[in-house]
Amino acid sequence: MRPFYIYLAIGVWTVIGVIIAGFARRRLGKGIIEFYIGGRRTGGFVSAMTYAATTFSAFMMVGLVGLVYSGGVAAAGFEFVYILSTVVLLLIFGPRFWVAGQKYGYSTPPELLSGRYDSQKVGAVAAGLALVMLIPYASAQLMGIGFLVEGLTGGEIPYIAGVLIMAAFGGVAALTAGFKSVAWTDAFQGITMLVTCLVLLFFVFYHFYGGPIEFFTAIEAESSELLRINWSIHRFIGMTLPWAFFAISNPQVSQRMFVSENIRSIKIMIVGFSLFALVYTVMTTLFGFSIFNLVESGIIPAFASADEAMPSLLGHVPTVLGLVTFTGIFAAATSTLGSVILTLSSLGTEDILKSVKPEMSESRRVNIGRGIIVIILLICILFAQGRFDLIAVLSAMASGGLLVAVPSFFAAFWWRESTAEGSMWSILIAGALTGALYVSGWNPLGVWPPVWGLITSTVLLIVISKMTETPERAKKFIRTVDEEMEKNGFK
Amino acid sequence: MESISLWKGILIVMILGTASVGVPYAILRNVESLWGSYFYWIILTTAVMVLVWRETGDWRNME
Repeated sequence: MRPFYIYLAIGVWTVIGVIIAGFARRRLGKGIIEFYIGGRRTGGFVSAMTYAATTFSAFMMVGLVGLVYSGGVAAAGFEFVYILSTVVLLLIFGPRFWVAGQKYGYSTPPELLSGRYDSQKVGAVAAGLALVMLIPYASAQLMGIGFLVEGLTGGEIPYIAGVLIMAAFGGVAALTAGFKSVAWTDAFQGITMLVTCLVLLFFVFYHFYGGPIEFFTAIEAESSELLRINWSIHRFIGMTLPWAFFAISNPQVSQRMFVSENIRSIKIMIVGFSLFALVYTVMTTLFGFSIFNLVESGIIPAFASADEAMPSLLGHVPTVLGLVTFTGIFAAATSTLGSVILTLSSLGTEDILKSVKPEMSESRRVNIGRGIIVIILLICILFAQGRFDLIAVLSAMASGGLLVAVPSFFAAFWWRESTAEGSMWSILIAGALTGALYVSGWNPLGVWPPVWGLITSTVLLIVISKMTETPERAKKFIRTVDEEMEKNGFK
Repeated sequence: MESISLWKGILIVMILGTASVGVPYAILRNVESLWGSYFYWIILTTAVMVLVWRETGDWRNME
């Protein structure tokens, strides 16, 4: 594909995105709550779309397609288990986060932990963990686009150019009007992702197979080995577990449980996200099956790395369609990047800076937050230069590390005896253990690092909490959340 | 922790874990058909989504 077309597609799409961000800026009020969570006034449709666009990244159309191509139906299964557990977790945690945010004014998930455990240190540790783990995840978005533009143009647009273009757009989305510009561009990006994916899928059905029924018949007849589960149970659990708790472990998505304007908006967010997730996941997994089948049939030449699966398919579709699909992938990656850097900025100011300098004004914290966004982007660009091979594994590692904070969130709402010391040390020790296992590549007893991390953090939380004194505020917090749930009609 | 919440939580995790991982790995693992684990996971996910939607139907705006 000629570089001019890629630049044109990005240019047109960027102009639309910048216009949307500009409109969002006009509605931006003052203060931290306004900048980081849109003043808790986000409607149902935008809540659903920003949740979906933040969750689904370049991983879906590049990483997941490659995983299904190389690993078959088990890779699809791991994504379906993620959706299933996310909707259940949204049902359980969505109302609780929302009422706690309304009652106590929380704007970040670690701030909720600080409040519940009555310790700024807990929030700072959870925020620190997220900063360490989410930078590789954000970098993976940049890498996804870098690989894609390089692959599509045969190297005429270098990898680093793709990385820099996307970093610039992600920065604009987050800096223009904070959450409002991120959420509004997310809604546009979410629609782009769905529509472009659907168009490509129907092209694949009719161009290569003659129709959807013929496609499914061909997959069953010619590529049936893909439909047999061929991941070991350890690999399946190791890949799935971090994603199963993604809705709680990843602050860029759990923060979205604070943003809805009312209960109706939360409902629409849950229903809208789950529909989006199911349709988008079915479509992306079907691409994986089709590319495998097309390579086996000799229509697409074989390639070396699983991440090349989607770029290879795009090399065999008309230029316009390739560009449309590229735009959808670009949208998925930028929406995730914008949300992650904005959330990390909020953790930096609200959970780390505010605990050190509580007297600092909100307007000054917003300005510092903008500076943090730029710094995080620069770090992500440096990280992306490392060009790690498998985007999927890198993304899973980030969520694997964040998994260690999940027991603290459960205990915050349901276990009165859980303490700040228990929460803090469980996150610190289990986080360090998980990171060390990932870096060393050691899976003791064949079990993957996230499983060890989750077991360790749960045990430490229980043992240390039993040995330390329950904060007085814990009982009040749980009782108040229960009362607010009832008062707001959730029970 | 309220014992009812704990047992309810454990029960939900066991049911979901068995349905989403246990059944595909124990029963459907070697089925080489779209009607094996692939459609099973799609149908299971859809069923859980519908149950969750029904639950949210009980939420009432009190404003």
